[in-house]
Amino acid sequence: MSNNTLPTDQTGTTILPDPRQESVPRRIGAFFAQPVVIVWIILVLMFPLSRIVSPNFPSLGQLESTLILGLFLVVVAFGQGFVILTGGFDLSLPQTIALGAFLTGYLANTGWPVMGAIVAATIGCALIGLINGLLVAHAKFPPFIVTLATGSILGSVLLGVSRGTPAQPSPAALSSLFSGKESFLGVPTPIWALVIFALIAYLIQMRSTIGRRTFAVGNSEIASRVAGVPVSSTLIIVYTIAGISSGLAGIMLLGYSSGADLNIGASWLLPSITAVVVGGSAIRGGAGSYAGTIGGALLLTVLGIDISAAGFSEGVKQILYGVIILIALIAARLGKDTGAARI
Amino acid sequence: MTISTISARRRRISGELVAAVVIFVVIYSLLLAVAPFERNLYSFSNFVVLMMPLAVAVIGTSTVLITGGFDLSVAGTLGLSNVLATVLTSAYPDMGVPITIGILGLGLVVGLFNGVLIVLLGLQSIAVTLASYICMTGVALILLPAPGGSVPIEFTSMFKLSVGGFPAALGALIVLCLLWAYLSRTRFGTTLFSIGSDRQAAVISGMLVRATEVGAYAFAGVMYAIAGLFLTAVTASGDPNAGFPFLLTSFAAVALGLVSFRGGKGSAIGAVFGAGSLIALPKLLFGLRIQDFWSGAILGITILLALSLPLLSHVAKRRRRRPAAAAVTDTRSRKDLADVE
Repeated sequence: MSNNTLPTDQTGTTILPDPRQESVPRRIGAFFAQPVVIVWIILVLMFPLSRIVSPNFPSLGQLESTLILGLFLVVVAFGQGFVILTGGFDLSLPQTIALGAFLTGYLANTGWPVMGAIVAATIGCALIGLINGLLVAHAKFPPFIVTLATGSILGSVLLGVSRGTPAQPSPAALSSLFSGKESFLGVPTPIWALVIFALIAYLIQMRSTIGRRTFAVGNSEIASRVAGVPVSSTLIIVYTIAGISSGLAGIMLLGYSSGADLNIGASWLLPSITAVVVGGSAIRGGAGSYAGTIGGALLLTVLGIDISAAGFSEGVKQILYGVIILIALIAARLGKDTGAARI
Repeated sequence: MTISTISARRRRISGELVAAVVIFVVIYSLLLAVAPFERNLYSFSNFVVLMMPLAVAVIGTSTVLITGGFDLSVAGTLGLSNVLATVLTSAYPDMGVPITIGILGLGLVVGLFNGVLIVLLGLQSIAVTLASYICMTGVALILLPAPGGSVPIEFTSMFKLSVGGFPAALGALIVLCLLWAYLSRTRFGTTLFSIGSDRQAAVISGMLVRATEVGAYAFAGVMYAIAGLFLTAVTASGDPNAGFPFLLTSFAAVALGLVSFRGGKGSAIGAVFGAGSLIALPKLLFGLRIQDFWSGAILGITILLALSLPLLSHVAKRRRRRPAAAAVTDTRSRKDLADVE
């Protein structure tokens, strides 16, 4: 893996501050030194490299399962990445996923139409995001601890309310949509969901007003305020969107696994942050792209599939994950303006 | 007793520390009021031993937080220390002391590794420590794939000694707090706080910023290793995922200890009291016969209340002295500009 990143690093080191005045090879070098591009190159290379672990790889089936399994990480990492862009964190993500899954399952099983249950669950999750946003924007509490607290409260309330029926079966329509068994135009439905979600999320983060304001707020709250960016409402909207995306992930997971208990979100918190980091976003906000996050999410997913196929133990799997994050971090660091001293 | 010993040695006691102590005293007094079975030395001793892993771990977490960094490796080092202690002591029961020293060394190495990557390569603290946490969980899983193992009683009793009814662990905790109080007043401590409040100014004024920052992570690593040893003593077994609960509870404890999440402010001693509050809270709810699944809600609300304490004191100050408000916004904006780098 390090062999693949090394040449780009070396080209990266030669970049000067203003690439517009540079020769064509250098501009190409600058292009390949972007964290987003590095992640996608590694991702694409992962497929032929998968042959090392199994002679059945690379295959169309492998690509298909990467995209189907990657859907959930692409969704949760959008919300997490959007919040990280403002310089915050959403640690209430696992409980919000659980709320989305639980509420959908619960309402559908009490006779609500599936669509109504989905909408109600999404609104519920948006409210959690709204509360996070209000506490961060108006009370000026640190996001890390606010979302830790709201997550803790939400988890506890879910446990209290759901007593007796913590596990909810998925409505049949949702299961068939997200289990990957149905196809539309020859492509499994979850992959369509992935494409649609990724497109909308990309437009929100990279092309909309709220997206641009999010970058501004993440770079400097004070400067944004001076420039007339409505900082508080931007933060509130960002956290609300994060709540919605966690909720959607919960609904999709409910369908995928044909049922959900309250721990369904627990295993997604760290991967959501990891995908954002591997995708080249700055963990302290202000810089990052959703294309990178998608690359990071799919890279982690294909790695997971390869590691499982290779029959490595859980321990080796974890070590590899950790090492990949470190490599991605170092590659992103070396790719960036090298030598520009950090103070 | 703890309070008077510590406060007597500190020249200046911050409002945050006082608030953290008050929160703990309120929760623990309520616990004593509703639960008669807690009102004896034996229960107190048990309580101290139970809170030791978290209390020691948060000394490390808050030290890094004061520099403005986030250290998630707490969960990894703590868990690996627990697994190593279990595996090694059951293989070599007579080697308790060398094993302890070795594990402390491991914590130091992990902390140095984190610090060097963060400071010298300029990587983001939360990302590096997340990666090292994941790696260490992997190593722990290889050493001990499933929870279990048995720790010889000689080893656990080393950490659960009691002197005249008082737990030796309490003595160890007081020593660590005093060590931190001393460190915070040395040049190392001054630099630590300066990095957190205004990194650029610290660099310009010629402080050893890089060395101090690496030192903070190394110190924290040793604390996590000690916390893992105390955890081994409490559970008398190993669990490769033992560290995971500490990932969030250590930050919750730090919040209850009113250590600032923006760096430059707070006290590890406050965080230790925060850990005490966090351990006492579920016991209090049990004493009140509140079902345990509500404990998460009460914890969250307590954290939010603790967060609003500085806000309240800020409002009170502003009422007393109006121009103070302007000064506060000024320091905030300067910090913000420094963050942009």
